[in-house]
Amino acid sequence: MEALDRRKVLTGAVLGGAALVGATAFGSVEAAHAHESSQSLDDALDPNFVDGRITAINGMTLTVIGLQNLLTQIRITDATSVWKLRPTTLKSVDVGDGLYARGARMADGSLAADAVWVNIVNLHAELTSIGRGVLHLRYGHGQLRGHVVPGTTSAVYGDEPATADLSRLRVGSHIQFIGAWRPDTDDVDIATIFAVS
Amino acid sequence: MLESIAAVQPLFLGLVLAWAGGYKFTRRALVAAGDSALARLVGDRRLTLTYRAVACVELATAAVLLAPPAMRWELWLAVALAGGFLSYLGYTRIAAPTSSCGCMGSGAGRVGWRHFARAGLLLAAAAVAAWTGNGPITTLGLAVLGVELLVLLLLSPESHHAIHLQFGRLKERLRPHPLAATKELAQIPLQATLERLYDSPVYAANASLLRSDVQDYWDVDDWRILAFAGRVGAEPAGTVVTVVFAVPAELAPERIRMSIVDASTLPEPSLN
Repeated sequence: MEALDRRKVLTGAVLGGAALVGATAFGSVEAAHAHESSQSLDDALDPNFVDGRITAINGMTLTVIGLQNLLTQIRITDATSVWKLRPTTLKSVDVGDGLYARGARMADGSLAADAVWVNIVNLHAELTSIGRGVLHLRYGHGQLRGHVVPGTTSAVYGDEPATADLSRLRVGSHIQFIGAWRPDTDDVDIATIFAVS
Repeated sequence: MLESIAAVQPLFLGLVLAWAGGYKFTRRALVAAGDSALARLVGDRRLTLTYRAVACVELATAAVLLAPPAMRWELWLAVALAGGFLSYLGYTRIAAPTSSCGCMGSGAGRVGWRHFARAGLLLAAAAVAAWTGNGPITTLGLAVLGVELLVLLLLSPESHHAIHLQFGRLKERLRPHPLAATKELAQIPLQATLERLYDSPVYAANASLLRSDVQDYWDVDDWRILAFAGRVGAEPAGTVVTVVFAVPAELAPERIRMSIVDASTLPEPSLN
């Protein structure tokens, strides 16, 4: 219910339809032009970036073990975006998931996350056969199953805008895709496929 | 009957060993052998020499098997060789499970059941022929030879991908596209909305405010609303805000709207 209230308030703020009950709108686009940020784009060597597997979830804090067995506490706040196949919330995140997190390093070594991408993969593969709701993919020397998630999976053909139409995918073609890996399997739920038109 | 099956086995074994030995003399094979368990077994320095030596043994065995006259000891040699292959695969599984085989083709990936099945087929063929002895080549024998070669091809991890792909192409030609129904979907994917947003002047002018990726999105009439977390003013004193964009369903970047809302005055995001 609260989530619906929140959406209603934000819809009113941006479309100007409903009254802004209790919310302060900071104003117009012009005002926002004045704000500049010194924050640089993230990169892999940034201390404000963490990747690893989740070993524990305690309330709003995730414990993540990284490549060199480095443990990091990641704090999720109301201002954190969580992606797991689609924008979602901490509720759909599980122990054993992998993640990339970007945020600000705190004095105690933890990371206050701005954005968290869970199980995200970006892979290049060859489409070896198409089934009902599943793409069989050759990745490296192995096989992957790419699952089509109705309402979420989209395709970008060449320079065209993204579409829900997957009927133009062809066996034997090479695709790039972004998806959410199902941990410790050869299965990936597909968010977006990039194919030649 | 067993005699006519046994009679074609020298031919079968000879062809397979000639393939395996010949392959090992290609440049591609030597490169692939660097990832094989053989490199682990003998060390990188002796890899080329050992690899070529194995190839020579395979080619020599193939030559004696294919050239007349057919002798019983040739088949025992093939039995020993096939037994050696199986032992090597067993060693690979235990000592270097992530290594490739380096046996008959590159790009085959790590050793799996197909490798064992293939080596097992060779051992069985050699053993049957060695025990049974020679007979005349018959039509039945040639049919068995054809089946054996086909089974070997199907078992070979090297050809697995090509077979899978041809099967996929055949299915594609014979039946309607399994994902044809997605053509009828009217919804606009989030990716399409994001592409429009990212290309818009209003996003470019305000992207520096944003701290998060998309937090939430929903549709209202012909609009898609997207919420991001952001910060106004210098850190750490700056105010945490929610930046909300409204992207129209039709392609009109100039109509994209934006608002900045003080996050502390919003209802709690209960789903977090």
